[in-house]
Amino acid sequence: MRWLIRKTESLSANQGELQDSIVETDKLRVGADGKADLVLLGAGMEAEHLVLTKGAKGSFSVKTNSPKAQIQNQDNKSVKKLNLSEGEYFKVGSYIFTYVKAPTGIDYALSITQVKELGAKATSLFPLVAMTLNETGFNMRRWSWYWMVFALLVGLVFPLLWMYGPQDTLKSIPVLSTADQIWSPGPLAKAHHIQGIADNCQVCHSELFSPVKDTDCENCHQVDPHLSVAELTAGNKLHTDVEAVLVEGSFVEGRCASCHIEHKDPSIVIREDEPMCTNCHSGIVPESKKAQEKGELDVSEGGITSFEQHPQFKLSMVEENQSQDQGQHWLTQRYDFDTEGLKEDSNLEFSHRLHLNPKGIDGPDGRTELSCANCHEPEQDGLLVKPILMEQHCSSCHSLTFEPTDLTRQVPHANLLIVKQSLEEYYSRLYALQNGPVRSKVNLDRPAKRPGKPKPDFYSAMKEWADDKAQDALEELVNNKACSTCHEIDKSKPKMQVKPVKIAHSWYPKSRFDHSSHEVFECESCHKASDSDNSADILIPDIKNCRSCHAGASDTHALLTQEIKTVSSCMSCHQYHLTQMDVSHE
Amino acid sequence: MTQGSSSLYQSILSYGGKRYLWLASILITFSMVIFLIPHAVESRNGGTWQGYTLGTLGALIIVWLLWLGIRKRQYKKASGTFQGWVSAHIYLGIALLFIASFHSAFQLGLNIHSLAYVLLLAVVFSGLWGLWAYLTLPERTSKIRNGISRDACMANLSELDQNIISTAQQCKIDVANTCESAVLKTVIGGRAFDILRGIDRSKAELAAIADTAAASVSNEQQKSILDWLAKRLSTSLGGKETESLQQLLSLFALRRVYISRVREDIRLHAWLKFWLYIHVPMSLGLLIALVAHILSVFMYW
Repeated sequence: MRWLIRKTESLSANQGELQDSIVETDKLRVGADGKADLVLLGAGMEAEHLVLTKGAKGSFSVKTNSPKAQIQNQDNKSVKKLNLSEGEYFKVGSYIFTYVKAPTGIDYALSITQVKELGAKATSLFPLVAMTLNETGFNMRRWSWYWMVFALLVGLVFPLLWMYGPQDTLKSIPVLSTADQIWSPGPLAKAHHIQGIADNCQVCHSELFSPVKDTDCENCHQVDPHLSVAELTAGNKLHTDVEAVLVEGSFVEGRCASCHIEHKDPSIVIREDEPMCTNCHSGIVPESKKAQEKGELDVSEGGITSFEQHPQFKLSMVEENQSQDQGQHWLTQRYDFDTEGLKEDSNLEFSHRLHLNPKGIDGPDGRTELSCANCHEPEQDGLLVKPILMEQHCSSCHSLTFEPTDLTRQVPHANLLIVKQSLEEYYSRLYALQNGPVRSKVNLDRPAKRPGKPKPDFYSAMKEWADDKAQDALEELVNNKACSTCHEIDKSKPKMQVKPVKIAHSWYPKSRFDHSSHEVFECESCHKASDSDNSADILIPDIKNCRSCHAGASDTHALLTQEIKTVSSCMSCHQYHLTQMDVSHE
Repeated sequence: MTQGSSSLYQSILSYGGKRYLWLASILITFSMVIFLIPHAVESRNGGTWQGYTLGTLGALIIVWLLWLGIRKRQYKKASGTFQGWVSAHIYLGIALLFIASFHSAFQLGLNIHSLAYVLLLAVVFSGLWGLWAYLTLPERTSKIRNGISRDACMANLSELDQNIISTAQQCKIDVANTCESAVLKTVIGGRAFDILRGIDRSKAELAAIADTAAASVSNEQQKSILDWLAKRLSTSLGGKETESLQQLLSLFALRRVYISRVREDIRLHAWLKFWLYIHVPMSLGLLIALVAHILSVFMYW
């Protein structure tokens, strides 16, 4: 038979300790003798006190094993033997034996508790010191309070005190200054590391238990060019259905902060993930008929899901147009990059090859070696390059002098009417100062003056002479000397015409290309300028050029070919908040 | 005859056909699946719907686990056996470690959210330590006690000490004084560190013998007094005193056994309880930190 003996030993008045042991015997002998199966010491316990054996119907019988031995039953009566059923108890000396329910695998379970007189202490000759952690001063309750108070102060009291207390006074207390920072679940995006924002949660979290509102963002951010969500949703302008672009399952409801999520590490305040676009635009089929006809994008099976499927770029080219209501004007036309025979028609006569001659080119200071940066300067934001200006970039070499005997004077770089006027004025003044036609170099500082009034026909003679000279100079400028170097001359019309130059400022206006982030590369690696003799050549790179370094986030091709590529999502080039043009801008 | 008691504690782990082991396994698997669901935009964190799901589950489990402290005090009216509650407490506590970690997505910072997580780690790991303690230490305690309770052992020691004093008093004054000092300057327990390390700070005032001067020395493991008695015995001229000295030697040798038994007993007992002083207070700190964590998230939504 297997007996489970569970002894409860009292350590102090209210603390006890359980000690279990299993004994296998048919006769369980209990007594003070060391040879007993269960050794119990104390007053009233004989050397061989009890024998416990199996009884009827799950009970067990208890018999004394010594003449002096006593058992007290539940009624506190002394007996020599008794039968114990489950739940019953008896006493021997200071011990109470209780028959408890036996666990599986055990025949009888006996709980033995020693009743101590309150205040009774173990006697010893030497002074007793602490024997339990509790007695050494370890106090669970006290420590619990410490932890709870600490968490309460740091987690709630200090932040709330900071929020509602006198902040000016609290700022001087280190623990309390910006105490609500402890609530911040993650770092702010770098752009928000501004004094007054980074150290004041309530600038954005203006209302407790309420998500950050659009008005909180608009305190600092202009709604335009960032179109408000309401405008986007209601205006049917650009991204008409904001809800649809939000990732399914997110806790979002079309606020600024639904997409511009703060306190995340890594920061996602500006979302650049592909699903931001492809959740809706996965079905864009490039060049679909529907898109062309309706001017909207077709959403059907397949289509663009990453940079890998992106169609060839479209070039936005500026073209001269003539219409009845607008007269002559410039029009932006988009052409597929791969259109055969595509040429730029900018009216410019220019050879990059000539200007980029590695041996240099003749300039005012002798032979000068030019580089791209001499003419193409970056815009302040580092994205595109500034437009080319004649006065700034060309005139140091290409002067507009017109009088061989006077190289200090140039005509303005303006339309022919103004040029002609300035020439007439020049020659009229020359005639006036010299009192007649001039044939050689004239010193204008020392005019030849004659006394008396001029002759009556002096002014008409002056006009005639000056007009002739001006017309000659103009023709020389236009046809042989200056204008025709860069400009196309329209000879089809009876009146002399210099065609104005118009170069596209942005060839891909729907994309955002950052020249500054590509500074490490030579210009020539994308723009093959030194091979170009003709300004009609397209020197803008196409998608193949971009793909040599860039791949979509979900693009497996780069992995397969073991090429290291820059992962680029839609947002690397496209923008969400476009105010200037429709996404399907033509 | 007497077997180790660990099997009884094992039964807590296999309670009800290991039903709570299964429950914990299901919860861990569930939380892992939720955690691994691809996140399109954000890197994994507590603020996604996955994070909210795991956070809610974790918070409910924390509150339930803390309820054990209340259940422990309800001897009669509570439902279920206490053993079952402890079994569930252990397994759900282990599951909580996974749920909370997946909820946090292993992102830590100097904030209330991480404070709650760190407290949770401390509570769970101290709980595991406690589980280990309860699985191993009672068995070692039983072996040391060998069926004799600590009180009984102390009573025996007291009887022995009286025996030593009366025997020593039959000897010369130097023996009587030295033995009495060895008994009176015995230290069992003391500071928490001494209890946990089982350090013996007993002392003895040894009287001078021949060329050795009198000294107050450490009596660790009763070694000094035994050495002194042996030396004193060698200078004894025989007769009654020699007999008494021999008796004292054997009495102190027995004393040494009793004392180290009690010291080891209180040492093991202290280790059996030590984890609780981390587990319980920090779990209550965790409860407050959890409230602050949840409130702060929604106050500054």
